[in-house]
Amino acid sequence: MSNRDIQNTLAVFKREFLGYFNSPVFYVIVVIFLLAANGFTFFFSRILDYDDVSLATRFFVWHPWIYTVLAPAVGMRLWSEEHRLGTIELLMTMPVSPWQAILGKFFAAAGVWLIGLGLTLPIVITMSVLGDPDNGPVISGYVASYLYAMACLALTSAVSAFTRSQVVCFIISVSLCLFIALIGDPSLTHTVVNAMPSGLESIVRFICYFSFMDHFFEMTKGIFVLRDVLYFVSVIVVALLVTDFGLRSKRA
Amino acid sequence: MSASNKTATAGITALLVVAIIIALNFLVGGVGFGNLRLDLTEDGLYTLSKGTKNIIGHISADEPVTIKFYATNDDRVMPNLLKPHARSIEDLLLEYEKQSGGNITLEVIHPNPDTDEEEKAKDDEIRGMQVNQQGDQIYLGLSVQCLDRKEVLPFLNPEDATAFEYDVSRAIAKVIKPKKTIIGLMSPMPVGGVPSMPFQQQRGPEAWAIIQQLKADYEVRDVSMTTDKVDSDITVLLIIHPATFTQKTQYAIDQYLLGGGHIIAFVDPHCLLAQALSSQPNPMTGQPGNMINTSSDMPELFKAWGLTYQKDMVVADMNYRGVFNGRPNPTALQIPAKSINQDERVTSGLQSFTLINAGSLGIEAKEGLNVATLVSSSEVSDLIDTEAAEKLRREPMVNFTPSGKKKILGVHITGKFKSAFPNGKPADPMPKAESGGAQQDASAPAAAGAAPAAPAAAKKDDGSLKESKTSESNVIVFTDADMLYDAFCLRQGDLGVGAITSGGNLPMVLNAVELFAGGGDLIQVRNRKAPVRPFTLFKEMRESVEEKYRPQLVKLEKERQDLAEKLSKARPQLDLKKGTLIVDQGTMNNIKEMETNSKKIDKQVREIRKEMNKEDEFTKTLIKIGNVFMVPLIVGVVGLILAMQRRVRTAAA
Repeated sequence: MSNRDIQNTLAVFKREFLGYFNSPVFYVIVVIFLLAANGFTFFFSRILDYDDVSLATRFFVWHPWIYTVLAPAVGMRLWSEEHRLGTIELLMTMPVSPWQAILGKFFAAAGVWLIGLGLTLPIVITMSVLGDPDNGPVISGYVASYLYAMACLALTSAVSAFTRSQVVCFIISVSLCLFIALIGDPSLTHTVVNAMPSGLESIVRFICYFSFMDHFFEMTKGIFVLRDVLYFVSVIVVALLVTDFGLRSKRA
Repeated sequence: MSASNKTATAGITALLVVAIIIALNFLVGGVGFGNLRLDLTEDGLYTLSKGTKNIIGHISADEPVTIKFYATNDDRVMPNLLKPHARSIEDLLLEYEKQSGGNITLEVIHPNPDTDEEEKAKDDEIRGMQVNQQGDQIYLGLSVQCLDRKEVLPFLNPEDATAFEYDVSRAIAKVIKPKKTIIGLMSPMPVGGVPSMPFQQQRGPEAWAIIQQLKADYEVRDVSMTTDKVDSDITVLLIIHPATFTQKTQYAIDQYLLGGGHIIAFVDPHCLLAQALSSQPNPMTGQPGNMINTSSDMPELFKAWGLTYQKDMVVADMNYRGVFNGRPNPTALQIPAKSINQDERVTSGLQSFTLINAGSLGIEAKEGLNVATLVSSSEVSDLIDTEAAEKLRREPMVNFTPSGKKKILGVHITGKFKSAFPNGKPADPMPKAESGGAQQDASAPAAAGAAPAAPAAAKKDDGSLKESKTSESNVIVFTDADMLYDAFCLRQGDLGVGAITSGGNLPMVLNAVELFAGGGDLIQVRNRKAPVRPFTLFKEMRESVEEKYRPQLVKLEKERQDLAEKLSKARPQLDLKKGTLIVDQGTMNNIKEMETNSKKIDKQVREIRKEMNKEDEFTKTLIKIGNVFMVPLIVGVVGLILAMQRRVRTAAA
């Protein structure tokens, strides 16, 4: 990547990143995210009623479900909006390559998400005051949570490259994120396997490997395993490749 | 290059990248090649401990170890809870293999329903767990083999995950060491179980869990309570409730210790088990059970070790009181981590102890000996006599004045011991005087035919040892014997798959035995902190709230008891001769008034308890509201202000 590439990517990043703060959607989404993440932890998981300050099973456990809805809400405007307004043509006439635009926009959304996630830190402070939590799992939990959010964002980015309607993009992305969260669930797998001809069983099992959940929960326990990090990074890279493909096909 | 060519190239490149990514994921995730791990937990919960590394280092290349790990991986039957557990076990086993430099071979087998692998698991004595009505079974266990020696962990309980590394390391240590260490066991109670005879229908009591666990790793040899010599090939002597020790026996123990032995002793001022056993009929004969004195002591030895101990006084502790027979009881001690010595290798990392009717030890400095307190009570404690302790099982504590001093409940003594019998072997027969636990009870077996006490006149120079041969002998003394009984050191697992260790009682003994048996490596494996970290501040707050209301509650409790006593006296007695019951109006009114008062007191107690709970709940609610709503509110307000500023700016423009 040349210097110019980086500069262009940064320019797109800056424009997009600041754009979020001018939109009320950003504030609404962050507020919903914070209310959901902390509300679920304190009211549904009732973290204070169990004698355990660790966050893995009562705080991070909710994040995948929240991201399933909110990451598409943040990411749906990535490309659909440009398609709808026709600004995509304008963007592509600028001296910016599709990849610079894709990365710039993706990292801008990622940056916004970092702020949202960062705003949940008071819960860590609360737990440190009330007890003596192990910092390792907290750190790895946050990284896992962020990687999960990024993967959902990248999937949404891929979907939004193909459609000009934000609503369609949102609905498809939520379904996709939900699907990829659920596929590892044994009871679901069981039902599907039973309904399928036995020859297709191995294919179903192969698809199950793509579930986000297994990779996510391993990390919230306080351990980074290369395969889990690699998995999320792979999903992000592939989804961005698909985004690129989508944009090219649209243009063609 | 034409546009379509360009697109085709880009497409091929993208496909290539995807293929590389999938291959990379398959290599790392599926095959485990280069699967690096970074353990961020404070205690390295997912990293092999130093002890395990040492044990692995002892495996010789000529006698390699094979670990066969059986884990069902069929999603249809494997419960959600067990999947990540199985994976983390496999990861840890891979670490074992990696660490061993080729001396450990790991075989991962997936015994899915109706496969040959399932048969293999059964052959290897892995325990299947039925998961559905079709009778499908899942397996999660392992076997460790070295030559013809094999150890099996039939089921790896996810609830006991911190013990996993210990279990595996112990199995390895065991298969690579051909000779067993011998543990001597002395107790008047059937702690080692009673073997059932072929002609008897009823089975004798089983061995206590602690003995079963010791038997898994060591040879446990019974030593008679009246022995006059303890075999020198015994590495550790475990003494549980020495209620009937004669001087001769104490001399034998003394000589054993000086000869380089190690002792773990549990005396008890009021042993509930001994009491229960004495009142129970013998299951073999149906005859009344053997009377066992409820208090035990080793006076001569304690004196030599610099310990003082009152064998009829029990520690009551209002701060560390636990629940016994469904009611709070200050003699049922629940000792938290802060009163457990975390610097001693025997107790470090242990989070709690349960002791029932424990006694208190005093320490007198003895030259050459180093005494470390392992477990103590809180300052809000005092000594009460056994009669009062017995009463507390039925009634609440009324009068209590804390002594303000911590009571020592367990000690570890190291150094060069001097003989408790400097004049040599005591004369025979030689039951000890006043101080013995058994001798005061006429029914105790050793007391039968006791000769009048005589001074310990003994032969000079009978070859007995006067001091320790080495300075590496160890003595551990605890003042409670009940703490080793299953009911106080095990709990039923939530999955319903057997009992799991609860608290530090058993781990302490296993740590000590291991340490003294010269292993030392395993102790570093077991002493890992449990992953549960409590809300310490809540506990402190709860304690201070309780402290605030305790005087009121104690006062009300006393009033209630006084009233109950008066009521029982005032109630009209049935005239047995006439068979009638005549009550005058005055008495009736009096009783009614007292009953009303009693109800009032009950109500007051309820109110106070409500108030206490309210204070707790109030703090929790504040924390909840603060955490859930504070930051979103700030974000919302900031968003609004910025929006308004923008609007003003736009309007101005």
